[in-house]
Amino acid sequence: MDHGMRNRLGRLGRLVRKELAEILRDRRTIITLVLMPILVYPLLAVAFQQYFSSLSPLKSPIYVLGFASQIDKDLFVRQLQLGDKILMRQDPQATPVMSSVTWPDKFDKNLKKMIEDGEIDVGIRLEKGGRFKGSKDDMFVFEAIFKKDSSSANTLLQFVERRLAATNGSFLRARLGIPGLPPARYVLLRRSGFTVPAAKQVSLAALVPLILILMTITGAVYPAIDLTAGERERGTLEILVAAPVPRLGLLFAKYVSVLTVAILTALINLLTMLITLWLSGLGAALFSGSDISLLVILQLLMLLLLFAAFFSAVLLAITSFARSFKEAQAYLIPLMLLSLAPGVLAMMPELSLEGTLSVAPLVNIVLLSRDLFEGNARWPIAVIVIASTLLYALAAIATAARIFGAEAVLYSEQSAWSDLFRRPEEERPIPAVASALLCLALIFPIWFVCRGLLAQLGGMSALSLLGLMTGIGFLLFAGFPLLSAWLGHIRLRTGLQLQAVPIVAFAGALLLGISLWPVLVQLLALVLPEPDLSTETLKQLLNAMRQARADYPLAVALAFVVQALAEELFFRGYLFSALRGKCGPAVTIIVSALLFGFFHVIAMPGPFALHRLLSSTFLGLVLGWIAWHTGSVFPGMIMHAAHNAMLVLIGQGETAVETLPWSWVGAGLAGTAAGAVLLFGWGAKTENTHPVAAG
Amino acid sequence: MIQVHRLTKRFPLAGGGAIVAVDDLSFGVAAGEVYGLLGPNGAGKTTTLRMILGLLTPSAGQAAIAGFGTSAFPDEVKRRVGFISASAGLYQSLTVREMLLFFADLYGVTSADAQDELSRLVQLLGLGEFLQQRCATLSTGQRQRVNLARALIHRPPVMLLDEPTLGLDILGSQVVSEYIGHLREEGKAVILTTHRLEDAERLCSRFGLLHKGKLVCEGTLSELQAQTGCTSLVEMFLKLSQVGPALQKIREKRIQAWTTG
Repeated sequence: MDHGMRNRLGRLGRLVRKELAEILRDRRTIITLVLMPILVYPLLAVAFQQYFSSLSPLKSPIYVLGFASQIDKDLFVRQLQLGDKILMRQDPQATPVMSSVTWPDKFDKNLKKMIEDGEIDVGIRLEKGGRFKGSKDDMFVFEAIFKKDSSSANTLLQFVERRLAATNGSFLRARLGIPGLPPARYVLLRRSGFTVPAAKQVSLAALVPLILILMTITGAVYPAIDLTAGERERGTLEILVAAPVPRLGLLFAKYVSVLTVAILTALINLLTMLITLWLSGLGAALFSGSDISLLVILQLLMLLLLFAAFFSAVLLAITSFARSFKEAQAYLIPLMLLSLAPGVLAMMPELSLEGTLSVAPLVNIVLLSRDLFEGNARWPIAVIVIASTLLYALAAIATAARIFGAEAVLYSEQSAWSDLFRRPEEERPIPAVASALLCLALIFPIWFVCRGLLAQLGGMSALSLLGLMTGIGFLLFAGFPLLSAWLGHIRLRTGLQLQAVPIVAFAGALLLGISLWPVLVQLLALVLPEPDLSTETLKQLLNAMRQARADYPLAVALAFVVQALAEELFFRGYLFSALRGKCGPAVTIIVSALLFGFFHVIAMPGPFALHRLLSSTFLGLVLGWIAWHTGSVFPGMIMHAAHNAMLVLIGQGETAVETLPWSWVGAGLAGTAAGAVLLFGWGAKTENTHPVAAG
Repeated sequence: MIQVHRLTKRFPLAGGGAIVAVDDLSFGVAAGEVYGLLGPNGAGKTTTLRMILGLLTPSAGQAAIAGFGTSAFPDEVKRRVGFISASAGLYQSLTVREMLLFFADLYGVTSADAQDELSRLVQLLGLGEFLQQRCATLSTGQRQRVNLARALIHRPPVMLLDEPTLGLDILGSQVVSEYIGHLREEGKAVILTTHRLEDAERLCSRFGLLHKGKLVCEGTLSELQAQTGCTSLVEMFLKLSQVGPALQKIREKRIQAWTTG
């Protein structure tokens, strides 16, 4: 870690410490943080217990056994009664007699329906061919039909099985000559449980997201208001803004503080809730018999973090608009009501987490947590949910940084909101990091949704689909930086790194673009296991891609080249120059490469995610180095375009992991080295000075 | 040190049109000079200071500190300025010491330097007795002293003081006044706005009289006396507020002086 970075982190740490000191010393925080949960959950538990006890009267419940026919019933019940007798003899006091089980005199072949109608808890029938007649004794195999997650069915089955075990044991002992009650039958009970399809049932797990939303929001609201609108109300905003600190850094420190308090609150909530559940024994009732395992708690924590990351950022962005506590509260009440809506959505089982919903803010986390607790979450989607949520949080912080301390907030009596969006009169050399992040946060969901929409439209030829996708990609990646640069009055030449470079730099970049891919493909094949290509849709997708490549290699290559140019304009242009203005080479190159890699994962989730992440991040590092060294976006464009074209025309695409002949890899290595030497030696225009630093 | 060139600020009104709070204002302040920016309420004094510091963007014109333009190099400007305003608050739940060190950190002062400067300011402003108290418990006078220390902790060469004695009793304003004298001796460039004209007469080396966003006259006390024919600032103020024929004459004189010189 370089010195500047450590300094920045140290300062961030001190900023956070100050904000936390301020929040935690406030009486109101302590009330929401500690007292509320400690008081609320035990009270809720008492209320719940009252509710449950009113549902099930204090006397022990009566379980109902149903039978398919009179004969089945006679056989089975006789066995049960015998078992009861045996058990009673062993322990005359302990077991309650058969009084807690009844069986109606109504028989139905369709036992499942009786269970679903709530008439019986467990249905018993003799299996087909389940009767084995011996010379002295009979053996029967019965089938027990029950709903898997019904706790009364499980209790009843245990009850029945204990008695059957008693008779069967006695039967075996009699056969071995040990005296006792000699039963004439041996009865096996085969459990055959069924599950009610999830589509028809609302599990209590669906409540979890709602609880998590409430927990994190209550924790984040107060500090968010206090650290933004509160600054203005106390009169500290003006002197804070008068200090030479970047707003983004300031807001980030505030974000970390709000996040910390939100997580603390949620943790204390969770802890008191778990303790209450455990002490009151309500846990089993809520989580349908299964215990609260360590895994559940871990998952809960991860989800809490995600919810807190989202809400802290959004709340900060909104409260930054406010000029007083009162105003902030007025803004937040609609937000809180709005946030409960997705929580309720989770209870709609037919809603599944895919497509556009996986990037819908908040809705995606809610659905993810529901799926997680129902045990059917899929990790590629989870990655998208987490990535998009973090991006939204970033965008919200960037927005907050723009608004916080803006004239319109600082001097509300004089300035108007329209000032915020007014184009500055003076030209600036480089964009703010916040503005570049905001761009990325806008590009990402639009890109994702457009892809999804195009895929669903259908009926389009592969070629026109490719053209449309490329067009949209170009519009987004070139259009957003250009628009943002115009709005911020950024000089294009410096803001997008459109600097002239020596011809040698282009030659080096071209050489790298042509020769890096075999090295990269080989490297990935060595490092990563073969991805699982078994799913049908994936096979179709890959085949379609291969087909398109085979049919129109030039068109596909052209599309990839155009996409490369547009991506460079953003990742090594706008974003890069913004980062470069604030950070050293290591941070600038690594952050831009990671964001680049991340974007590619989102563009193509599934089993290739890891390949894409690694290969794109690696490519991003190389491109970042070139951009830093030459101070220009152009050589990177050449390299990226050449790289993409080679992958399409000669290689199999980034997704292929077939190993290449070693001669190719060797040639690739040689070319890469030569390109790097050219770029390093003669690629930079002047003594490696950044145009901004120079003037 | 401080250069203000044709600075203008218009605040648009809801129904169209605009209030011109500062109108084509130009002046300069050298190091070691205390410049009194005086004028009745609403004259545009505070708006001017906010624009110099970069808290407000000018509608036209520009301000510069030590050659750094406010809008082009906001951080360079802010680093060189200590700012005090009557409305500035304190972090209620931090102690005085924590608050001062926090601001030293914001201005990038190393912790060793900050400690040195802190102990110097504690001596100078008499903060010792309440250094460990939370800011919420301080009296108005103590608060203003803490604010002064807060603005000075990064040793700025330029001070912008917006009504630093507002709401202070005689004793409190005495401390502040003394300190302003001290700032001048240290060679800082100071702009002071105040309604305590007798203080201003004593402290400032030069004055600019603002009225409705315009600089109506500027100079040392004796120059002003010669220009206006009044003996004291109070008299000039009264004249200014009435905007009588006398003022008109002064304006004409000034414009003449400008165009010829």
